[in-house]
Amino acid sequence: MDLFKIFSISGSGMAAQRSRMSVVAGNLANTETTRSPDGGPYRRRDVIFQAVPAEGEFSERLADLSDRPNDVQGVEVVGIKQSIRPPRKIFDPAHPDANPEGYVSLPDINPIEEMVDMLSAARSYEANLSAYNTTKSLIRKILDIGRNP
Amino acid sequence: MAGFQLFNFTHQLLELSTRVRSARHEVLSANIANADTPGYRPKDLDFQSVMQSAVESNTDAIARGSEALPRGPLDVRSMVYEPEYPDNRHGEDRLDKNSVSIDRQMSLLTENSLAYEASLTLLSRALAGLRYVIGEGRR
Amino acid sequence: MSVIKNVDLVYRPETLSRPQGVEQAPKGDFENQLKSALGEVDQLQRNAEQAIQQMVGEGKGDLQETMIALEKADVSFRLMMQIRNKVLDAYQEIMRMQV
Repeated sequence: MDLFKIFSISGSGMAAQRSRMSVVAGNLANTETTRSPDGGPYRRRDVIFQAVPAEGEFSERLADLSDRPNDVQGVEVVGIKQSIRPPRKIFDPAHPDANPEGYVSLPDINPIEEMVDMLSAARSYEANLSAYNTTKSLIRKILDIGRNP
Repeated sequence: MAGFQLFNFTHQLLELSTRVRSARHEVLSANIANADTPGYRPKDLDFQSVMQSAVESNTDAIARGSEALPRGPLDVRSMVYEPEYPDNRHGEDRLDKNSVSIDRQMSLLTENSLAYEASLTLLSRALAGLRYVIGEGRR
Repeated sequence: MSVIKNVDLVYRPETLSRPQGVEQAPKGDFENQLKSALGEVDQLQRNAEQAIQQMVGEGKGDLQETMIALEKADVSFRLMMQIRNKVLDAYQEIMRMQV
């Protein structure tokens, strides 16, 4: 049991799910945001997961994944993509960001969808945590090989 | 190990089984880490067939009493495969085409861990027994 | 438990009657046997040491392999010590004999 490798696999799973939860939290916080730094309403964000080789050395992480399809792989957030869905349009002429026709562009974020995503991320996180704890007790058991009865 | 063999076939089998279980633990942990990776398909290690082929390819050596089962780190890559689960729709039902069932992977992981601990316990006891015998029953 | 079916083929009665450690031992030369046994014990010690260095020094290496290597080195070393004690006892016994 390669200690570094096995913990990095479960650790990467936990880290990736945490990123995902962060992004979902950001979406939930910005359901009504009409002004974003790039102009226009906030756009829903999503994480992009990718399987990466779980070896410890940096040089091996650069190797082409397709050459080693059966390698044990961890996961990594390789980017955050913004939704290309068109914004919701609400008729509200009194709103400071209303366009000349009286419509406000709001982010196309469905809170229920986001909550389901959050629950799924939490569940995956816990599964990885459980695997991590199982690994810990297995390692203690291995160390017991050397212990006198 | 001519003239000095302490570790009989059972010990070697135990040692090999712990190594295979350890490799399988890595593979199953990787599935759980990739439960939401687009396009990822769960992998597994066929414990039975690995043990079977290790014993079969070494029956002559084993009968002679020499240490014949594979030594050194196992080549995990050659043992890993993508299993066909009966109810698996290969991710067609998901937008990200991921086909990992967390529940199944968790129960496989638990089963493997228990078997792993059992092998480790047996191995520990076998070694403790050897030490005891060498010490002529004195401790 | 399909692995077990092959164990029957392997455990033939004749292997039981032959003591475990005596696989085609070289005839007669006790000194050579002892030397080769010592060499193997030494090799096991070196394996264990190397495994420890790798694990502790570089952080690489399989924990399980290391523990098992350590145990094997330990057990074979103890056996060697016992053999050594027995040989010494036998020698002293002979030296005490009245001629």
